[in-house]
Amino acid sequence: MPENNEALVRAIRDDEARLNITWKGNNADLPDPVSADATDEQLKTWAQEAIRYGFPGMPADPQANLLDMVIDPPVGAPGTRPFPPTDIRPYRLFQLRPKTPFGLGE
Amino acid sequence: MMEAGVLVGEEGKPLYWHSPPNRTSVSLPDSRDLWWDGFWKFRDEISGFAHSHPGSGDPYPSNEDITTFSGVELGLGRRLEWWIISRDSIALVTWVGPGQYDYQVEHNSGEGFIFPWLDKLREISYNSQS
Repeated sequence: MPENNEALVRAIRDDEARLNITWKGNNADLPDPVSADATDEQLKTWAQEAIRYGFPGMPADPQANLLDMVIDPPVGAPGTRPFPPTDIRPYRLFQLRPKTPFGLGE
Repeated sequence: MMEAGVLVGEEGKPLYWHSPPNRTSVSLPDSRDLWWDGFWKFRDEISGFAHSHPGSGDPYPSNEDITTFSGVELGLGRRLEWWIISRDSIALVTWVGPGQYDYQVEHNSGEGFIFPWLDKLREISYNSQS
């Protein structure tokens, strides 16, 4: 779990999820939950705005752009995202991380 | 030939080999494992990442390579050395700025340099069947 997790107090409904963000060596969850059926574009827009202003565990970066970041889990079969809760993480989860493909692309 | 990669630490020490089952002769697909088990796990130790390209001659980064270099550096919050190898040449790609995708490419044959990861990276790249 990210270091700012204990600061997260807002209860999460069944139709919501946490958004975990990695940026400039920091890793933290957005304090506010997001809709579990959010699109990648929506999630990246919310994440970019949050990083630009900063939040617990994530220093503000007014120049942040998330062009080369991706959302996990990827869009796939219905019901495959967000990541389901686990024993140590009792909530659904999206994660934003850098893309890692090399070569001619996918 | 199948592309492969390796996370490189200080003094060229190989830290994490990357040869996923879905690699091809011209690409290494996006990999959650490479980010979390590689770049993020070893973020305090890594100096760069090396990957292979098909064929011989001086290799150049693709657009996909450059945007991945930039994304990973933004995720980690620091710059890395990006090595690309062919069968007989090596390129070192580094950010020079000022733009997000302004990287320079320097080539050499590898002669006179010691790359502890080079022989194995060529082995798992060019001795693999596509």
